[in-house]
Amino acid sequence: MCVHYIEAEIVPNTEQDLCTQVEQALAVHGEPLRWAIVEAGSLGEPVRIEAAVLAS
Amino acid sequence: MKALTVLLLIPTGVGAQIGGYAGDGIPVARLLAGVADCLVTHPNVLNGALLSWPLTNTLYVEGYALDRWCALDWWLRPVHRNRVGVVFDAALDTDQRIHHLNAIEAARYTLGVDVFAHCTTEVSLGIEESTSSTGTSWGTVREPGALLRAAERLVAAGAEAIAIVTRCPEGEDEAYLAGCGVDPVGGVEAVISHLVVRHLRIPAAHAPAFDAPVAALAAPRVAAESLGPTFLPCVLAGLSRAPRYVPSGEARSSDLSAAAVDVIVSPADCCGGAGLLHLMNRPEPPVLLAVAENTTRLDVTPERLGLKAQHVRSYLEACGWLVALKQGVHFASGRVAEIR
Repeated sequence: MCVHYIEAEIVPNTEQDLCTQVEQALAVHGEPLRWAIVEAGSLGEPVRIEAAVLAS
Repeated sequence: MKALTVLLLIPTGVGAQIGGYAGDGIPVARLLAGVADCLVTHPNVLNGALLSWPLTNTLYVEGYALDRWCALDWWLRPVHRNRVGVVFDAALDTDQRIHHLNAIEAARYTLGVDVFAHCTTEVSLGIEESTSSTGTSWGTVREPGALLRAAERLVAAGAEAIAIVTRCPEGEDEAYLAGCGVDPVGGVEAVISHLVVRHLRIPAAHAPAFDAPVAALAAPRVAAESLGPTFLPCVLAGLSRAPRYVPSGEARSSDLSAAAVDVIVSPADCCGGAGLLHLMNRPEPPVLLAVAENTTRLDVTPERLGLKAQHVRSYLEACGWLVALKQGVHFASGRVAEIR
């Protein structure tokens, strides 16, 4: 078990729940312990996420 | 009359000008607790090293639990008191152990906090601090398993809440100590408590132990950290009455759901956190009061995320807005519409 710091970027689909989109993007790295969107442009542009994830 | 439930968020490790230092969010919490029937906030807001302020209508909720609560996965169950256990990092030196054991006894005998046991990890936890490319702080625990096993032993012995004291790298961040930088330990503190709460679903909070106290005249916003060699007292006070976390399927009608939140109060440029987004994604979201005066290192405004917000200049203005909401006051402008 270890804790990793992850930076990820997604282009949100404004028709879908943003949290679900973020958590799906992070799930490939492990289980998110903490995440936040740290950069966002205008609506529909990419957003950058920082997260601490727990991986086996 | 409908109770007014307010969620106060000041994320840790993002350089918040108010609440990003040493308990300097407490005056804001006191202000908002003066109008809210129930204020929900997190340890970063309420912890001031040796200082804390009892607020009987305020719920002290760890950040991971707060996110799960906002996602409606967990509900909050207020309690009269918790039995608190303390995890000591094996890396603490003899002086640090003595200071923290004294803090425990002081909390027991001076405040009446029910601290029933402490437990030392089998190896040093290996706490590391880092800074991200955006300037926010984060960090990691090299031995998370050792942390969780010590916490498990305390729970097996009857702990209902866990305080964690870890040895942290020397706090030499000059900008932070000058009252203008990012708390270098904030990010790893969140990781430590999140690990324990995720694993055991009980309240937890972290107190760092540094190798040397601040020697110079402290900047006002970090002065609370210069008062002594332990930051444990505020954590014990907060955990002593922290609400329990209940899976939504086991909740009672007396438990508090995040669906009851009427208003979120957040720094205006820091609206991308998980808890806030979960709540604002609800079909009937709460009002988001975005406070301009509390700037952070980020520039994630509600508008950039498509969130509807009520912008206010200051926490005092936010308080006035809450009073108006609670009293049902609407300030009219123009003439009333005529519908034909």
